[in-house]
Amino acid sequence: MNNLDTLVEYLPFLIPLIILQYGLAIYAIVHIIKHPNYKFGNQVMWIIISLFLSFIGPILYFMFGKGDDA
Amino acid sequence: MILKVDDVSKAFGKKSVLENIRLTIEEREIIAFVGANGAGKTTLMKCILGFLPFKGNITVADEKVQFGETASNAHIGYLPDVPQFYAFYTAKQYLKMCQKVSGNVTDERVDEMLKLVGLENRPEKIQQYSRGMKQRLGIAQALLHKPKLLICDEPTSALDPEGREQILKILQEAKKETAILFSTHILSEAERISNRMIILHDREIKFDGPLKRKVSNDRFYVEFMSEVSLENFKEFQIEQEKEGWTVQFSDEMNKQAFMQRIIEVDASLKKFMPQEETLEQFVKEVTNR
Amino acid sequence: MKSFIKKEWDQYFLTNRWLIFFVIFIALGIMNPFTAKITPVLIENMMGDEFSSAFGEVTAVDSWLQFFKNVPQLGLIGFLLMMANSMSKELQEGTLPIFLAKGLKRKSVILAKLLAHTMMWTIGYLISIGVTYLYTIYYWDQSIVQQLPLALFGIYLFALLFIFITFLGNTITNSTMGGLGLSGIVLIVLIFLNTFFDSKWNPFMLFNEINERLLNDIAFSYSEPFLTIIALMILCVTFAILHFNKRAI
Repeated sequence: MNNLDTLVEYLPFLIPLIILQYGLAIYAIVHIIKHPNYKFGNQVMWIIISLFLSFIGPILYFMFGKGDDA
Repeated sequence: MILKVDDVSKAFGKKSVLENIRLTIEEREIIAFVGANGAGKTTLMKCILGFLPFKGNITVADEKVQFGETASNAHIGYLPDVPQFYAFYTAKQYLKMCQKVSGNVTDERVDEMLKLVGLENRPEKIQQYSRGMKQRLGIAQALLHKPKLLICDEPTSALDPEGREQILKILQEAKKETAILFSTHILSEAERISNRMIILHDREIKFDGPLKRKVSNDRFYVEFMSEVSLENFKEFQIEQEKEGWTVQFSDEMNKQAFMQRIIEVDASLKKFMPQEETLEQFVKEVTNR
Repeated sequence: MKSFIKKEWDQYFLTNRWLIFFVIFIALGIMNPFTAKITPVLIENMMGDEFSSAFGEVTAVDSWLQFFKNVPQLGLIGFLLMMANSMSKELQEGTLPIFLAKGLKRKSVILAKLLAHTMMWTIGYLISIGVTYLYTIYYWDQSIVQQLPLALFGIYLFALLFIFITFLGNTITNSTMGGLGLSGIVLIVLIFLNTFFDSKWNPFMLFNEINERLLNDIAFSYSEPFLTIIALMILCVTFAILHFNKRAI
């Protein structure tokens, strides 16, 4: 089984996961930029966390980092 | 009778906050509830709402208030000192929710209240509101279900003069349809919109009655025809005003001496009239009794 | 009470919560079959062919076993984090007094919130089931899986119990950690009892022998743990109402 076949076999997993992951990251980053007040931390920190910690980063931001009136 | 508070006492642990409070409120009365911070104004309001356990009896529109129960609150509109809302709603969505909780509110009433507080046609969510807008929304929700008694806890204290003015105007409008009990420590407000004042001090009601100020016989406002130097009146207790002076006499002798001095320095009086006691003085006098 | 359920509902869908909610449950739904499929490949790459062949072919059962591992862990924890301050937040921020002052019953607040959380957990759980199911029938033969609906319902109820316990803890202690802490304690007790005192009444036994149930349809008594769970849930609701009724606000 060569690499291309493997890739094709896993595509049904990869495509939605990638869409979810990047969709969430982009949504979080837009939110971080639009609402520059946070419970703690700063803008750069939250952008980095949302971008590089897949899934967990944006969720952490929305649960714990997002400012109250944002 | 809208509200009857009968022999109500409240203590937090061993610390007594209210003792044997008695008061009644009739329809359409507007009452200023005055007292220092921590005097127990908020505590009494919360007892009336059944939020706190208390000793004694309270009835709202003949319905007995019981701690933990909320049935008697259907007659009440309540504005907490710092009202907090579900900030993901717009003002209209929020009032729609209030409408469903109360049940007997028409759609027209929702619009009418939004208009009354100047929040109609606002598309933004409450989270973007200023302090004053929130306070106005707070009054709108409190009046929505046409309560018989509106309870406002320091409705103007956190606002700038402009916001304060708006709230007072709305309250004045509201008193056409409901009795109002509002706490304040700004006496000019109490004076402006209420006709009855209740002073709470040191766990007890020290005064309950119409806002009438006594005419004083030892405090006078004095104005002269021409410039007169304060130097000549050194030993008297004088506060300088814009045009003239306010003189506080210690007794009748003191007053006579003052008149004597005027003749001595050859000044001619333009005005000499007894001063009304200020509310601050009145409250002070009442609470020191 | 209806109005308050609607508010709880709006709180999910008018804030960013819905996004986290859907991402968690959809992603978990995908992860289950994905992990089942990729684990032997990873082992083969790391350790060589001999090892992987010992694991045998991956089947639909493996995909569902992943479901029973991931959803009650990551899924439930994520959900609990979302609702763990459901009462305390309102009490601390003071959003509730306005409605109690309109005559909304204290009891209604508790019931509305529990009902709303139950609805959301049901939706999330169904989403995960749906996604996992679609992948499973695409890659494997689903017909070999036995007893699936009952096993799924058991874990659903088990998780719901912990949502109720977290809510009770949050109501009593007025803190997020109080709710999560109470759940943690109850979980530890249940695991301890399940390990050392074999009882068919212990809700945690719903996790026992899942593999055997799905693969070989072994006899399994569901009614006792279900009854325990329902009894505990009724206790949670009762205590939450009793406590909140006597709370100074």
